[in-house]
Amino acid sequence: MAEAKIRKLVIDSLKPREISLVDLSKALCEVYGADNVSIVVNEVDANTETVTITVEGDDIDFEDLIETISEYGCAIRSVDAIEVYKDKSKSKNLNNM
Amino acid sequence: MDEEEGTTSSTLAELIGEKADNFRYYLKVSGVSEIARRYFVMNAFDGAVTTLGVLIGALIGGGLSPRVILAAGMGAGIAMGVSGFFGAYLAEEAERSRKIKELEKALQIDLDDSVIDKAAKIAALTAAIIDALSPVLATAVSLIPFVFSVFGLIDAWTAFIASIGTILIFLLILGLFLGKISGERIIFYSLATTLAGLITGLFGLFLHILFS
Repeated sequence: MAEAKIRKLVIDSLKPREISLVDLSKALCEVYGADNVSIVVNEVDANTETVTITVEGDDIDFEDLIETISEYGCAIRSVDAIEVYKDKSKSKNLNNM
Repeated sequence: MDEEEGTTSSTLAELIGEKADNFRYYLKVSGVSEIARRYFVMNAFDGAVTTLGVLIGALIGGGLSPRVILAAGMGAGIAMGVSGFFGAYLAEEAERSRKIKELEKALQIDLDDSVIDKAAKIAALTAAIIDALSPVLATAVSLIPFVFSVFGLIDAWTAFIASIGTILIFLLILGLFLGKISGERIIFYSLATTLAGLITGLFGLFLHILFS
């Protein structure tokens, strides 16, 4: 059975300045299915930074990603771009076996 | 069986390692190391100088009883420790909850259970523990000669001199520590902290005149 999987996500987020980009990006890279993470700072305020988070991978776990972003005290403003593909070769269950 | 035990202990070691890493990370995020260092110096200084005050007071009062001095000194140290714990915890907690509220307002989200929230809680507790332990440590170190005296190993007067010496050396070390933090003027800081001890002694002299 073919399954739709997330390959790329671009998220606009507001990050507390105490959280370093290195720590946040490393934590996001630990999310299930994420292989590459890049974060770009767009704007710097007194306490916060507006950042664009780009996550790429074979099968990104969206819920896990959102949870990790929230755990690091970041507010998600919008999902600006998404790339989803249909994995016709095998289902997620078979992958896990 | 041995293999199983080995696996259990390695899992435990991994868990402890992970917790230690998290703890270090929270300390880094909260930036408490600097505050804790400040609290340590301030309260260790307090502890040492207060013990000096207790010693001088005892001498002027006419009773160099090692047991009384030990009990009074440790009592003062413990009181400073307890007051330090609650004072630092409440002050840090208040400061950090204000900061988190500000941040929540800016981010428009709830920061409960986030890294920032956990870091703030751990920071307040760490600052409080350091604030509590530093005067107790300073008092305990300063009063070591009186422990020997209580057990009859040295006489009270020798313990008194040794204790004053220990306090002055302790103050000097605190000065060196401050100098190392500032990265300059090590001699200035060492002299300044030792001077505080000497000033206490000078006031003790006035007290002696007043009481005699």
